[in-house]
Amino acid sequence: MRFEAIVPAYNEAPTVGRVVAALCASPSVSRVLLVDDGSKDATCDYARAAGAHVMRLKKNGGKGNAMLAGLLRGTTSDFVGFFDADLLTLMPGHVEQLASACVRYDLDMVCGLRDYGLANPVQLFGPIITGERIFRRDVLSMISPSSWSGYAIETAMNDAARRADRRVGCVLLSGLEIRNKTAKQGWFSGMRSHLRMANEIRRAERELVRTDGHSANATG
Amino acid sequence: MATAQTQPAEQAQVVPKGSVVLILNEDQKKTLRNTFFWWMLLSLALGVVAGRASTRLV
Repeated sequence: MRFEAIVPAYNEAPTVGRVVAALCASPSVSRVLLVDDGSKDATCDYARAAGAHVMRLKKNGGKGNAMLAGLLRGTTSDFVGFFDADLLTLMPGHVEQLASACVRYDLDMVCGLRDYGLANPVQLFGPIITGERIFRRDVLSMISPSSWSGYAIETAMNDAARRADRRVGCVLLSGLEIRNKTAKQGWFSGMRSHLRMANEIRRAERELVRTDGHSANATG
Repeated sequence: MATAQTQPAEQAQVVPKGSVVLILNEDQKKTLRNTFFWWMLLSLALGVVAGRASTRLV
């Protein structure tokens, strides 16, 4: 199984090169597409230098919007992977772990969870929130257009797989570290971004319960 | 969330439709088991301490 990898990025120059290089070095990745969500730094240049195809969005529209743009306008394969651009230690082995789980267990969606050691049981009982996922393309077509915004997309992906009765697998990616928001934006602003993200996810979950996950085909 | 153990390709497991599985290798399984064990031990210890403290309060 080979898949196209989409990397949505906004001002991720310090890390994007390493992420793209790891993806390009993975035998399961047929193509890496970086969707630049209106970055003001050299994200595009580093990504291109590392071997990615680059799609530039003029305005910063949020993570979900960048992911959708990449999916609709930049990929055609049956399997699509999403990877965060702020990963510090992504290795080709992590990518292969996800891809091989997908094949071995015939999964429709596989999610890479960070290994939090003693805190792992906490994330295992919560909703799956991760930027590292591989999908069968048709699972993504079940997500409503309005859900492709900000961080709400994380919840919408879980919901789409659950409602369509799909097989979902989670893989613990040992050694995967992320450059978190406090490191990127400073403590105060970073914490505010964390809270905003948590709030968006919570609101999206509530909305999905309220509308009973009703969605229109948007991304076939 | 159910757990599945990583196995050679020829022994592929079938995941039932509509289910979410956690796929772990042997090391990760062992670590997770240990983690659960320590959490349970910690909970037990806290329970005992809290129980004794509340008894004294009465």
